[in-house]
Amino acid sequence: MNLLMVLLIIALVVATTGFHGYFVWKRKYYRTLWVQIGLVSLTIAAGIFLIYNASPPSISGLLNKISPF
Amino acid sequence: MVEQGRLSNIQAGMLAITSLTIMGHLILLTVIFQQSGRDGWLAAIGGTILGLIGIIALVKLSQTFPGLTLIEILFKHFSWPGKVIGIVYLVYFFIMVVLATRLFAEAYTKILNETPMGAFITVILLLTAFIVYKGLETLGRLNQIMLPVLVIFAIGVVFMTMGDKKDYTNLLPIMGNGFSPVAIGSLSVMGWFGEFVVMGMVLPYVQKPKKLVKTGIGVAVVTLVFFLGPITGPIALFGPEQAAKFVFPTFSEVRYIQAGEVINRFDTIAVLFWTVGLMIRIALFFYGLSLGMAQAFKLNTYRPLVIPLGWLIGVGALIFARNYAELNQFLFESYVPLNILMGAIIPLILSIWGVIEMRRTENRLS
Repeated sequence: MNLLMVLLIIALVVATTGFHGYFVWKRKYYRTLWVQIGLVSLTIAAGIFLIYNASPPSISGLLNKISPF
Repeated sequence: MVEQGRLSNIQAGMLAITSLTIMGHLILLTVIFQQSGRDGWLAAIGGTILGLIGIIALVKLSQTFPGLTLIEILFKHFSWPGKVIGIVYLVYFFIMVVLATRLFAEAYTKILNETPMGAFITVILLLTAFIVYKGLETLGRLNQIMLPVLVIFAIGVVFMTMGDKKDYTNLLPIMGNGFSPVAIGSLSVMGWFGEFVVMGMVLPYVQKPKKLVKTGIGVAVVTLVFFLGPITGPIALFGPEQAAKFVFPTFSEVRYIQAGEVINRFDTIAVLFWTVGLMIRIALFFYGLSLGMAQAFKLNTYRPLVIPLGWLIGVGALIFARNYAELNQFLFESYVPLNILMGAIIPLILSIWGVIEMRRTENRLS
């Protein structure tokens, strides 16, 4: 089930950002394409962590740790 | 220029008012009630005066480098420390937009508790991604239409909650617990006003930049006026101890309204505030993040980044906190120092540094 969810998130992310990526690539805006790929990769990595319930440290937990209060 | 749109000073001010007010109603009220109790209104006034430090510093920075956004100023005029601070600001915008998205989902799950959080996050991100994609002018005009509607409803709510049930003597004695609760609460309000820093991405596109100090002060005063009602209302109705226990005090207050025998479910008005207010707030920070990222990477346009960033914000909102208790802990421990640092201390330092650098350059040229 988890694997299916991972495949679904990858398919959805690629399907929704694919059009943008294709036109950016066609116009040869390679720097924009690399930023898009970076963001999408980060999203997929975070999504996999979330689906597999790998209990990654939450953003608020990290900030609370470095907070002076 | 990555952004082609233009805003009037009033539209820019209204954007800041909506964004600040909704955050004040949703999270700051609980923090202030617990820190300052019945003296919350005093903390609000003190905090607004302190908050003006960050607002004026940001406006002065924007006026020193006209036509440039906060990220452009940092990347072009402050060497490598500027680039580091610029990246920190992008992370800050991301945290703020993720926080607002998560709060939207948390607020809605309090009402529709069987719907998964992901559904609310999807809805709000689809909506805000569309607004951000359309640009700054669309965002400004949408808010210009929605804010007066919200104000009319808010005035209606204020009149309907006035009555025998409210006891304003609950606000007495003034400073009964000494000065320190008021001082701590003032710092929280100051931190809240620190969120004005996102306007650093909008101010260069304002039509009359010379009048921005006036606009900034106007924003602070109007936001304070909008905040004084919600900060005194729940204390007058429930007392300071009970008001501090509510997750969403204004929501609890609005639920007490009864107009005749039939019309007594006014909580939909509170939901209307949340939806519209958070939509504008998420869109504003989402816009700041997209534009800032495009400018940091020297891209031609920010629009191809909107959908990938929307996905990242959605996943980020889900992993932002494990539960509401952790989110609440963040609001009490990290939200205020983070905003004071990003919204007041850094803009103040940059503003002073910027003025010194400009004077040095002028002296060299003359």
